[in-house]
Amino acid sequence: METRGNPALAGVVAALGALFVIISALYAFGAVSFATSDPGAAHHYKHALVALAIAVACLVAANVVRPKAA
Amino acid sequence: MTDWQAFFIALLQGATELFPVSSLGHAVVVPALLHWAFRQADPSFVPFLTLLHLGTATALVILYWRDWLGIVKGFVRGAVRGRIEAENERLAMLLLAGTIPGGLIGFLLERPLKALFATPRVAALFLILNGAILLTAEALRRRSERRDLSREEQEQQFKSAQQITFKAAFVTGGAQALALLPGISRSGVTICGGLLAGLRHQEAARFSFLLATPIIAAAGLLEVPQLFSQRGPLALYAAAAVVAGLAAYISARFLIRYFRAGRLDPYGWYCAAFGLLALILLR
Repeated sequence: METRGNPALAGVVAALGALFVIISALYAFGAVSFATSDPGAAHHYKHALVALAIAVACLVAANVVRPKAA
Repeated sequence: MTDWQAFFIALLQGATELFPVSSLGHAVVVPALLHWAFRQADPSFVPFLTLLHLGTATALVILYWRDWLGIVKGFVRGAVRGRIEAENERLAMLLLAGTIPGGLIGFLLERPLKALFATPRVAALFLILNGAILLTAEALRRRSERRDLSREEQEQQFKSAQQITFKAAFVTGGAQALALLPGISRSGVTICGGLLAGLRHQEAARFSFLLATPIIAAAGLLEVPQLFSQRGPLALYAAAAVVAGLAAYISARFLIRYFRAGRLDPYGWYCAAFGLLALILLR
């Protein structure tokens, strides 16, 4: 149905996905507490899950928009 | 909060979540107008709101269960293959493109924005702005309609949800972030986005409801642990969630039927009038 790829967009979205994997880990280990309701908590699993979901979504999007071999 | 207040809030939440009139704006303004001595931003309200969101999301999944079955299958196939080959795969990826910006901005800005703006007078102001957005979108839409056709024929000139471009889906999804401002409607801005992208009214509403489901469900599911960590009348909250779900189901069915030929104007005028009235009464 759609075969055209966009290497630049794929790269940006994949980088965003990788970044959110790292952010997810940082929230899970409590190293980051930005935008959390309890900054003093040891872990922020809810934010880690949201960041992970965004990361997966970005990586799927990158896979779809990357150029494919004919 | 009394039982009746709980059911009233549930009804309000379920109905206004899908109507383009801002559930959050109404949840902030209406209790203030009624002089109810509780704030929905209070942490003790989290389990209650969580269940209401889950009720609304369940109603949307039931209403569109066939679409969701196809979307989930299409998403898995498209994601694994890395290529879009069928209509349901395209719709799944359009929803993905729309959900990423909404989720991203919501993730970063939800708490600071709600803390800054969740006051009744500000919400009333944003309700007026929401009305202006709806009326402007309809005015722009009218420019691209042929006047010599009936309303149904005019609508047939436009596209279905699967035909929207990825860029438009991304922008429409990103516009959901505006709904973090109490008074700006998530369904309102996404329906406007769909209309400006050339969708039929009915399809813009369908795309808006499909786009809203993952975010509403995620917002509810992520707070589920809070249900068990805070004490509260869970049976009452569960009953209120059923009421919210029923209200959302009936609202969605009404809106899909209404948008066969209906427009956003009545909701735009309603928001402007209600916001103005609230501003006067909340002086």
